[in-house]
Amino acid sequence: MGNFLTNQQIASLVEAIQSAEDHSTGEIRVHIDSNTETRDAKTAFDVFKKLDMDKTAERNAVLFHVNFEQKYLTIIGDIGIHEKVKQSYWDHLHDYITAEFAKGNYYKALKSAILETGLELKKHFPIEGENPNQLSNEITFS
Amino acid sequence: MKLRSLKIVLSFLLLCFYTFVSAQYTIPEKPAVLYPVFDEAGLLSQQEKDALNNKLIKFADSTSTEIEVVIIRSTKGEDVNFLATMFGEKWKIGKKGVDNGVVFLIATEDRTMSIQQGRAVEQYLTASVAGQILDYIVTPNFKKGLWYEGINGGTSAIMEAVQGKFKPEATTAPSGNGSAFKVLIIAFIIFIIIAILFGNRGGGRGGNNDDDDDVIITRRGRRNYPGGFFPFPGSFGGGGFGGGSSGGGGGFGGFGGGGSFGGGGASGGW
Repeated sequence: MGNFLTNQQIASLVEAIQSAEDHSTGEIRVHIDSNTETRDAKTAFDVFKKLDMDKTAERNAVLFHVNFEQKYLTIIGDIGIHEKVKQSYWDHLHDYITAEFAKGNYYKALKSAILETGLELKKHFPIEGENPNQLSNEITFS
Repeated sequence: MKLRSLKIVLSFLLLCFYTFVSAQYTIPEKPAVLYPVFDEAGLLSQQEKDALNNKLIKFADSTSTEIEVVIIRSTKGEDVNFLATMFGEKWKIGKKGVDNGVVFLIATEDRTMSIQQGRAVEQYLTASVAGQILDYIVTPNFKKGLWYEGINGGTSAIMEAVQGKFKPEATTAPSGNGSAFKVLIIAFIIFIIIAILFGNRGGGRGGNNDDDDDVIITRRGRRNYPGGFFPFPGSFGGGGFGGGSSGGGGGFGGFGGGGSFGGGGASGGW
């Protein structure tokens, strides 16, 4: 991660994921890739599969796959959430994050994006009471 | 006879001048303090201007290449490329005597724009590169009404085109070039030595459990990732996210095709 995110910021992002997933069955994950040397969505999709993100009950997991070294960001939303928010939502989210990343606001951009996505998940996949956390909130690295 | 013809010529000139002033766009006086973004059309918010100014001033400081973004309402019939060049000439964009300025002119009402570069920048930011920047990065944003995103992405791409390759004052001097090259070679040799040292020591240092080590290990472990077992026939067809050097590279139109996934997302660099 080098100087892109501090450990403290990573911990704070995990908390953001927790609060974003609150009151919704949706799942959010962040994966930081510093090993791939290509710029494409394929790697991100492999990660999506590897983390079993395509196995949520309502197919509503969202992955933020970031490669700081390659300056490449991929957002993947499973079919459930994709049907609700449509392509333009991902495009706008992607534009927002990359614009902030370009300014060096890595932490701020990821946090806002996570919380923003959380609002969307609450809107389309609300749940009362206990929410089974289907996927870990940990940020993963490769 | 002579006097008369002179009169005619003079009045003709005057007439020309008059029509020029009234019908065509005249380049305003150079502001006392010229910021990289000159927004005559009032297209951007102060915040957006500040962000762009900040970015471009930093860039000019580190590379000495000056990028001037000029936003006007209309060229009033003037050729947009010509006008951009004139802005550069009249406002003297770029370092004196080096000719390393770039003018990015946008005429909002005409929906035309132009990137014109000084001679010294041209070898990196060629006309075709400039054209691609406009076509692939700026235009798609402008079509959506995302002015700031388009300008931000466009200027970032210009910076990328020019960056690192052009540092006139320091490195154009012949001796500077030579020593820079030597420094590079020495740095490279040192890098190799360090790599060898660390490579050998890597195994023995297991006790150290900090993050960076983990990264290196995973990096090694997974580098020879065999490509091509992408299990989905759909692939990521559609929304070109390849060339996007900055400012968000558009979506990829879902995983479409084979229909096995059906989810969506967006992918691109910044």
